[in-house]
Amino acid sequence: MAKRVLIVDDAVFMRDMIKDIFSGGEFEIVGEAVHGVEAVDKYKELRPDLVTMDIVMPFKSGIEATKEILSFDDKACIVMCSALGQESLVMEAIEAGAVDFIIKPFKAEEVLDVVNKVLAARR
Amino acid sequence: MAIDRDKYRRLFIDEAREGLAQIGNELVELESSTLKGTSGGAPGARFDAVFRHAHSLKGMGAAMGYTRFAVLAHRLEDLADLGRQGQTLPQAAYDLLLEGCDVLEGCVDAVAQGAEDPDAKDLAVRVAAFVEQLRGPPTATATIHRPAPTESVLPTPTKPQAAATNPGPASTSTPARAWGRGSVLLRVHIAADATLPLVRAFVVHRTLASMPGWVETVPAPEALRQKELPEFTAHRVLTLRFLPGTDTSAMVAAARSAQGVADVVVETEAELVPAEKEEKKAAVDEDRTVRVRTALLDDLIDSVGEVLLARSRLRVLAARMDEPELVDLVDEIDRLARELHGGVVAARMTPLSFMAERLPRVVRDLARQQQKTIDFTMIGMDIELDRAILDELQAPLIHMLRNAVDHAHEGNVARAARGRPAMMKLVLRAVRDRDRVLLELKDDGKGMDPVRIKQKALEKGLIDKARADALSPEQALELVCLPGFSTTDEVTETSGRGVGMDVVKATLEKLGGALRLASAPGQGTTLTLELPLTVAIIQVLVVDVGATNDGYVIPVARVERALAVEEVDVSSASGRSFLRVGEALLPLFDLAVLLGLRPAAESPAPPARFGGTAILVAAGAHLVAFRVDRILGQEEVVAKPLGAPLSTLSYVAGAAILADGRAAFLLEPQRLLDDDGLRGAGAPTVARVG
Repeated sequence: MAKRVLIVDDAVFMRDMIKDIFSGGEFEIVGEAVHGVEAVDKYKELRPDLVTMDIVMPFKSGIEATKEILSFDDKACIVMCSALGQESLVMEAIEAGAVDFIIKPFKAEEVLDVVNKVLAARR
Repeated sequence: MAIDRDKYRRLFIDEAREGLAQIGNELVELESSTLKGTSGGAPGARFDAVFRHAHSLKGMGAAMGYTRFAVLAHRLEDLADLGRQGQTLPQAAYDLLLEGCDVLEGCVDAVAQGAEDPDAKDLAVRVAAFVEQLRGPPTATATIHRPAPTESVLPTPTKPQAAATNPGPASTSTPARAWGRGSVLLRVHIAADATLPLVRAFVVHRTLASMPGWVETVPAPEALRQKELPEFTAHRVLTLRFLPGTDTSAMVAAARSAQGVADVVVETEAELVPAEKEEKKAAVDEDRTVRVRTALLDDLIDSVGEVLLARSRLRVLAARMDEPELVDLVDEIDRLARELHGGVVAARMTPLSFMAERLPRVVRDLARQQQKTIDFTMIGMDIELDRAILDELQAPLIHMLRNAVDHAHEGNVARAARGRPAMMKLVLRAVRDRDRVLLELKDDGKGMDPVRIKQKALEKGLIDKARADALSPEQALELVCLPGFSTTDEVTETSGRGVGMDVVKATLEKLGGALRLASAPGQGTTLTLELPLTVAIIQVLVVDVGATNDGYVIPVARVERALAVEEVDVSSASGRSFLRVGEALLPLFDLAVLLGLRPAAESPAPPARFGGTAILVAAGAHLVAFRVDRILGQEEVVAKPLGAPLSTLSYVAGAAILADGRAAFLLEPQRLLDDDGLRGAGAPTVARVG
């Protein structure tokens, strides 16, 4: 069964790129969110298997959204997507409970590698 | 993999106890300097020490699998951390920390008795809640950023370049961590091209730290939060320690499949010992110590005693054979044996602080229970004594301290009413006095009242009226050392049950020491313990008793003076003999008669010629003269306790081997009088002339 993915990023470009990466058939994009508040709402509504989460977003940061999602569902599988130069934010997100991270700009194999490993460890 | 947890258990017990005692001391010091309003050194540094010890305890506990112990230690570490960051801690924090030490100590005791660590969750939860409360409401970032711990129990990775790199904060290993040997170390090499290697390492740490048997990770997760960690960046190795014997195949698989991991290497820490040794050798100074069980020291001194004995017989034999070369060899053996002997005796010498380090805590707790304030100081605790004496000394000292808190301090209000500061000064001071150590406990409390003491002794039927009247004030003080005596009307939890001072006195006498009391109402009390430096080796007078060939020796420490018995100085009254020494008349006893070696009738009855030598011995506060036939010499002997039935003779302290190889009885002559009646009611006590 395809894994259900929620993509959270305020940039259309990034969302499209991630969608392309997940288009191989193993994944099903069930939703997209453009900021933290929407991410929390969509997570509650869709209960995806995986969330890719941008960090710097309007209204509510990815870190805050991660915390809220985890307080709602501590089994949530959230992978942070961050630009270089945000080490401390990534660490903060990881400490908040995100399972792993991907640094932009990323390659397709790299993203799939991380996501597959994360999901494998979850089984 | 089989593990010998028992081997580590002993180390754990010793080291944990030591750490806990040190935490206790630091806390008591901190608290008392707070109470006194003095700075008492930098509190930050003291809290730092508490923090470090708690941190070590946590690591040790975890390494041994005593999770409950480790969790509580961790909570205490958190609390101490607040103190070292400069936060002023309320009284309740000290209470919690000390309670935590007690509970941890209880855990160690349980472990020592072969049990598992008992449940300490309740306290751990309370401490955690307290820490949260002190930290205040969570801020936006929610995490408290601690300074990275500067110590670690893990040695640096074995990669050659690692040794060459600047030893960062995560690389120093403390030498005292032998308990950690045998741990399984997982070295996770983070890929060179991995992005954000520190965060990557953290993710790996988090994955593996949740697996069974994990003890710690180096660099510490807290350290990984930093932007830069040169030590780590240089070789990108994350080391995870697991309990000895942990099956790490699942961890290795998890680490291998984790993102950004290039390689995983498993080691057991024992493999590192040679390298580690090298490192330690350079790091520790010559003051390095090892723990030796007292029993082993006892065995050693026994063996050395045997060597000395064999040497003496050899010497006699060599003299008989008239072989110069053999005599030279015996001299050589003699010298070596003495050296060996000196070394073993020195090895037994242990500073008083070894025993005394717990005492401030004892005083603090007692004082707090009774809402009394006490300024307790210890001086001269670096003076060394035979370990066997130290072991015996702790219980009596604690009893004396309890007495001081219970009785000498009459309460803050009552003291103030007498115009004295509410805080009672209590000083434990040790001084060397030739071959003795004087241990003095002095307070400025209410003092002891000889009149009241006499009254009490009368009421309790310990003495009769005539005896009470005959006692000088200083003799009256000694009544508190009689079994069944107590001066307080109220029985406190810890003392005042009438057991105590008699035991203190008996213990001291058993050790070849003595107890002196000095006190007056309103003037405070000074208790002085006179202690020999060592029980193993004693200076003795070899005496001839009853013209027998049996060897008898008397400890020189007991002997005040020895003098020839002149007819003119001997007098008698009601069938007893007295010896005039200067202006005093001392009771005179014939040792041969007391020991039953000569019938009383044959003893040269005064005022006839008496002859022989009188040895003046202190029995309590008085001097008593014992007549011996001759003094044969003075020597140093190794004393050995006697087995039953001889051990039931209180006046024979043991056996000694003389230089010529003969065995001798070690006499405590003043004990011969216990039955004869210096202490008994109505006995003709010391008559003093002038």
